[in-house]
Amino acid sequence: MNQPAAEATGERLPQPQRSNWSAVIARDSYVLLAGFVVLLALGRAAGMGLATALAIGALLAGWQSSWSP
Amino acid sequence: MALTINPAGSGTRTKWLADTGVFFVGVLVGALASAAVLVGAIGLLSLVVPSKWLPVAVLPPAGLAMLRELGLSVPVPYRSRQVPEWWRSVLSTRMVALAYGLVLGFGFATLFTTSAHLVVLLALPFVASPWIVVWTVAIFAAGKTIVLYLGQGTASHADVVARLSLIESASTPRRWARRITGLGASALVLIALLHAGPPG
Repeated sequence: MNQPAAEATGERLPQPQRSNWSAVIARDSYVLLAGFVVLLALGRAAGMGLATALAIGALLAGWQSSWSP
Repeated sequence: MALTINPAGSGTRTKWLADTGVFFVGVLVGALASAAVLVGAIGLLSLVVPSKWLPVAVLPPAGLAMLRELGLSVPVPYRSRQVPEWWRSVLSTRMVALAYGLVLGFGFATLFTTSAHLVVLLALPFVASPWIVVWTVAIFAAGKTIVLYLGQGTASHADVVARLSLIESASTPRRWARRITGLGASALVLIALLHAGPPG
């Protein structure tokens, strides 16, 4: 009952849960992972593939594991 | 960690910065000690395993950590515990910063919140240059320390808690986003390791 009434008055309807999921995951992981792959490709081109991958992994591991009180 | 090392807990801003530096050094030294142990373990393994197969030895523990990150209840090569809480009540902030830094940097005695942490440590023995090991560990320590900036400009623990609750989200999508990035980074390190092979 609430949703048609909201549409009729032009109010913004709540976003479906699914799009909220995809938005958060896209912002937080897919873009970040794409950046990792680009960095790794650049590192490999410079002959430092493992060192670049380790730098990426180390920064992410340190950052993620720091979120503990 | 920002709830332990912050200006209110340290007393003054200068002491807080010093405690932050001590925590960074603790993580650095702890992770270097961990790398040294793993270099020794891989060295012993090389006595019985051909060198070209040594990087493959990393896969079972790395795979278990990655499965755990997916939420599966599998055995992992580390203790699933946090740092001892009671250290905060018996040690000064400076000593707590050092002790927590050493333990968290070494890993294995506490849980790895992301598989990337374990995978990076396991891959370190295969790096040809010791300087790359030092740089990798320094980047890890910086990543672990940088969260302490949350204490900047705060006057009480309540201020830090408020900032943490604003920035950190424990929602299910956010948790999965963290898992995906952790697993992705682990996969990238493993691919690079298997492609590079043992150091020449």
